[in-house]
Parts: sequence; C-alpha cells; structure tokens
Amino acid sequence: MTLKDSIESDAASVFLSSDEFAESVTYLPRSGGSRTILAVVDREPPTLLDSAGNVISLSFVVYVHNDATTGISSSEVNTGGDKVQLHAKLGDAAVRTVSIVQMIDNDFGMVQLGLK
Amino acid sequence: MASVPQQIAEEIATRLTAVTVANGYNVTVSGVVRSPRIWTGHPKDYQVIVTLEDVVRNEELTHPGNPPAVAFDLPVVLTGELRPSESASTPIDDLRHTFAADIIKGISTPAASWHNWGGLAINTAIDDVRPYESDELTGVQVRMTVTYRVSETDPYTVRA
Repeated sequence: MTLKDSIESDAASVFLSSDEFAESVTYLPRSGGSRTILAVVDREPPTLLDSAGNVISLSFVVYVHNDATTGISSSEVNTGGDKVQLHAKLGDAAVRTVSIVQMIDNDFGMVQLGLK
Repeated sequence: MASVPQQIAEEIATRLTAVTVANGYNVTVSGVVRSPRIWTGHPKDYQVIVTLEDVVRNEELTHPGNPPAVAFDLPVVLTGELRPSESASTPIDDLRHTFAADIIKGISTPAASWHNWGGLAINTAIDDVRPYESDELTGVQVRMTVTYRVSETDPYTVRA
C-alpha cells in the first residue's frame, strides 16, 4: 500500500468515523440528485455575506472524503450551485440547506469546503 | 404601522419578485431577501438582497412648518447574487449587466410610480451599478438613493 493509499484509507475510516466527530450530511450537486455522506462539520461564527455589509449568514467548513461515492470528489465540486443539507446547530431537528461557496483545500484524502 | 423606509423596502421587494422570464425579463429572480439579524437562507443564482443603509437628513428638501416636513436620503443597495456553474463560458460581466438591467427595469415598473414608490417618497435616483466579487460570492450591486419626507414629530406620516 502506498502512502497515497494510506492517506485515502485513513480519511474514510479514521477522520470520518461517525463514532468520533463525523456526522451525516446530504450533498446536493448542481447537476441533480443527492447522496448522504459523512462529514466533519465546523460550525463557524455567522459572518458577513455580502459587501453591502449588513447580511449576517450562517457559515460552515466541512471536511469530506475526496471520493465520488462516500464523500465528494474534488473534481465534481461546483461552487456555482452545489449545496449541502446539515444541522445548523447540533441537536437541531431541522436541517438547513447551505451553498458550497468555496473549495478551500483538496488532497488525496479529503476535501475542505466553505459553506454559507 | 410600518416605518416609511420599511414600506419602501417592501415595495421594492414586491416589484423585484415580478422579475421573471415569463414577464418578459431576461432572468428570473429566484428570491428577494430582507435579512433578519442572522439570515438562515443561502446564496442562490439570481437572488436579490435588499439592504437599507444610513439615512441622512436632506436640508435642501426640508420644509419649514409646524411641524416641519423633514426630508431624508435613504441609500438602498440591491445586491444581485450570481452563481454560474464553474463550467459556464458566458462572461461574468455580461451576466452582471443583464441582471442589473433587469433589476432596474423591475423596480421601475410601473414607471409612473417607481420614483415615489406609490407616494412614499419624493424622488429616487439610481446612483451606480458596480460588480462585487469576493472569494466566496460574485454578483452585481445596484445602488440608489430614495428621498422621502415626513413630519418631524411623526416620522410615520409622509409629507408632500
């Protein structure tokens, strides 16, 4: 097994373990369809949305497996319409739909996405 | 009773919701946002955010009287969000200017009452149209100034 294989395997089985910090979210690609995947969700403080300066929106960073089946492949991310459904606060019954506005980072194992 | 700026913002929002391809525009506004303290919506293609900025007294159009009729300039910013696909080839400037033109046409319809928002204001001027771009969002902003006049002692009462 190469280092690259180990990183990818660890991303799925270690970093994205639902027994630890990962939770289920739903990925909604612009092209249609949806899939439930595991993600580590950082719930960031609400931030300014636009340069008009007075719209404060929810803000998240999610870490997912760089995989088109178990996560989101970096090659399929489309910041022009992809969305994610998640719980805005832990314990919320309702899910919120948020937009993928930025791909912050991607490597062989993980993709890091900015959501608003 | 709603304040005059609130009524103006609501009238602007109402007019923007009529911007649809079916009504003869080039684009369909997907939503009009007037944000609460923390907005729980999300950015969408062709969504417009209506924001009101600092109200400034307009001495030139203030009239004496008992009570005086006090004029104010209310800057309004209409932020049109664009989220074209990463594979889209249409120039972003073209998307911005088309969207801005439809926003202006939309708020100006019907033309006879757009400048005074159905009697709420005494004048409106489009100030500028500017692109906005950040790491996360892109779009266009239409900025305008609405001048309205109210009774000094009762700002809910519009004065001619």
